[in-house]
Amino acid sequence: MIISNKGSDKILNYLIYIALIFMFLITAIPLVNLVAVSLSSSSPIMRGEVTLLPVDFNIEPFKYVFSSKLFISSIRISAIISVVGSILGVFLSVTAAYVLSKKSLPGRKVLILAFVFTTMFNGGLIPSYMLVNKLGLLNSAWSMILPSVINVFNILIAKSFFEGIPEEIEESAKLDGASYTKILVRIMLPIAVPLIAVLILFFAVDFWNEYINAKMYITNPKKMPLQLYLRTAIFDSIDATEFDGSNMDKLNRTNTTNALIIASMIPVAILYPFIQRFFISGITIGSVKG
Amino acid sequence: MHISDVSQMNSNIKKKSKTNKKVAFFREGYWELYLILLIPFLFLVLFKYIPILGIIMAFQDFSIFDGFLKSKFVGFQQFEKIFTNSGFMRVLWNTIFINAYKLLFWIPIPVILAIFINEVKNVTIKKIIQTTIYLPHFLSWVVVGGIFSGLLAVNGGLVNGVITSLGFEPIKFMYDNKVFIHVIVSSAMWKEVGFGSIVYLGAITAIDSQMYEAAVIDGASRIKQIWHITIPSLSGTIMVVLIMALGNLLNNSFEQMLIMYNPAVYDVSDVINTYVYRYGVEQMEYSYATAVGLFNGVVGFILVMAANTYSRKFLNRSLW
Repeated sequence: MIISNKGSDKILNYLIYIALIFMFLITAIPLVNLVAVSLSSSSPIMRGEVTLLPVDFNIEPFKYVFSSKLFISSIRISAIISVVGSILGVFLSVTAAYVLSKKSLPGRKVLILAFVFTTMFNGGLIPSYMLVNKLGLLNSAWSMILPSVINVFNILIAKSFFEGIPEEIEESAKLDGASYTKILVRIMLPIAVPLIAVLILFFAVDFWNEYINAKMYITNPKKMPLQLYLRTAIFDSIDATEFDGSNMDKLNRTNTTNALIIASMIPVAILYPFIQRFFISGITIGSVKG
Repeated sequence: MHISDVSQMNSNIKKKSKTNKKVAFFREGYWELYLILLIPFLFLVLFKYIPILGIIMAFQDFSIFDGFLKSKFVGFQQFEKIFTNSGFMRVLWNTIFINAYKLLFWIPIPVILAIFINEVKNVTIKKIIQTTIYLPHFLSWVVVGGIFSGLLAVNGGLVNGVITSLGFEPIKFMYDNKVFIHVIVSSAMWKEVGFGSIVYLGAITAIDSQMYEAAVIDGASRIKQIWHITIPSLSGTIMVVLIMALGNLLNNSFEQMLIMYNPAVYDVSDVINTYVYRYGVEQMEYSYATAVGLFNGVVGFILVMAANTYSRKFLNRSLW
C-alpha cells in the first residue's frame, strides 16, 4: 500500500472515510427503511415513526403479498423467462464469440462490425414492436426472451475471454485432427466455465429485471412477468384490494407495497453474496484497456 | 530480369494467393466456423437488422391494414411534423438536459469512488462498503422507483418526515416540476455509481506500482500521487465511458422515466423514447413515432462517431 506521512494525507484519510461512510449510509438507509416499514403496522408508519427498525412488528404485509395469485404467477413466469433466456443467451454468446475470436478467420473484421454496428444504431422502438407483432409473439413469454437473447455486449465480453486463451491449446488439438466444433465443445467449454457463470449472471439479472419489453408486449394480466406486475401494483394499485376494518391496523398500502418490493428482491438478495466475485471478474474479463 | 517479367511474376503470385485463400477457406476448416456462427448471426439479422428495415414506416403514412407495401409514401412529411410540433422540441430539450445533468455526476463520481475505495486498507471495511454500493445495480428500475417513491412520499416518507420535523412544508417530490428532475438524477446515481466504479477499480489495480514508489521517494503526498499518477492512468477508461455515454445522450432514461414519470411532471420528464412510446405503441401513430425514433437513432449515431473520432484524433484513444 502507499505509505506516506504528510499532513495532507491525514486530511485525505478523513475525507475518504467520511465520503465512503456517506455512500454506505445513503445506499443502506433506504433499504433498511424499506424492510422496517414492511414489518411495521399502519399507524406508526403514517405517523412517521418508522425509520430503521420496525414499530409494532407484524408479518401481515408479507402474508398478504404471498397470497396474491397474480404475484405468484408473475414470479413463475419471470423465473421461466430468466432460465430459458439465460441458457439461450449463453449459447448464442459463446458460439458467436468463439468464432469471432479467431484472428485468422477471413472476413472477421466485417463480421465484428456487423455485430458492433447494432449497438450504435437500431431501428427504434416501433419497428421492433412491429416485428414482435408480426411474429405473433405478443402476450407470449417468447416476446420477452427472443429479442433479448442476442446481446452484443455479452458477446464482446465472451470474445475477449476467448482471445485470452493461449493458441497452443487449440493448435495441439487441431494437430490431433479435431474439428472446430469438437474443440469448442470438448476443450473450450470446460475452460470457459467462469465466463459462462458471468454470462448467466448478466443474462439472468437482465431478464429478471426486464420491464420495457413487458410493458410493450404483454397486455394480458395473467401473463405479466414480475416487474410489470410490480409496477402496476405499486404505482397503479391494480390488485391492491380492500383493506377492510379487521386488518387495517396491520395492513395499509405502504407496508404491503414495501413487502411486495422486498419479496421481488428475494432471489437477488439470496444470490448476491455468491455472485459478487463473479461480476467483478466479469468486468475485468471484458475490460477495455486504455 | 525484365520489368515486365517482374510484374508478371507479381500478378501470378496475386492470382495464386487468391485461389489459395479460397482453398484455405475450405481446407483450413473456416467454413465450419461460419457454420457455427450461423445461428447467432440469424438471430442478429432477425432481431437487430430487420427492424432497421422497418424504418421505411417513417417515410410512409403507415396503416396497419395496408402494411409496409401498400401504405402511402409521403417522403419527409413526418419529419416536418416533428420540427413544427412544439411538443417534440420540449421533449428533445428534456432529453438532452436530463442526460447531460446525469453525465455531470456519472463521469466523476465513480472515478472518485474507485480511488477512495482503493485507498482503504482494512479488508473487512472495504468488502462491506463494496458489497453495499454494488447492490442497487442489480435491482430493477421498478424496485428502485418504488423505493424512492416510498422514501419521498408526502405522507409517511422518510425524507418528508425529516423535513417536517425541521419545521418545513413537505415537498411533493414526485409531482413537482421543479424537484422531479433532481429526483430522477439522484435515483439514477444511487442505482449506478457504485457498480460503475468497478471498471475503474480494475484499471487502478493495473497501474504499475513502481510509479507510486518513485513518487514516494520524490516525497509526494498521497493526494499528489493520486492527481499525477492515478487519474492520468484512468483517462483512457474515462474516455471510453464518456464516449459511450455521449452516444446514449438521446436514449438514456427511457426505462426510468416510463416507470417514475406521471402526467403531473410530463413537461419536464417526457423524454424522446417515452414520447415515441406514447405516440407509437399507445396512440398507434406508427409513422410519426418511427420518424422520431429514426431521428433519435441517426443523431445518436453521429454523436458516437463524432465523439470517437475526436477522441482518436486528439487523445489517441478509440472505441475500436
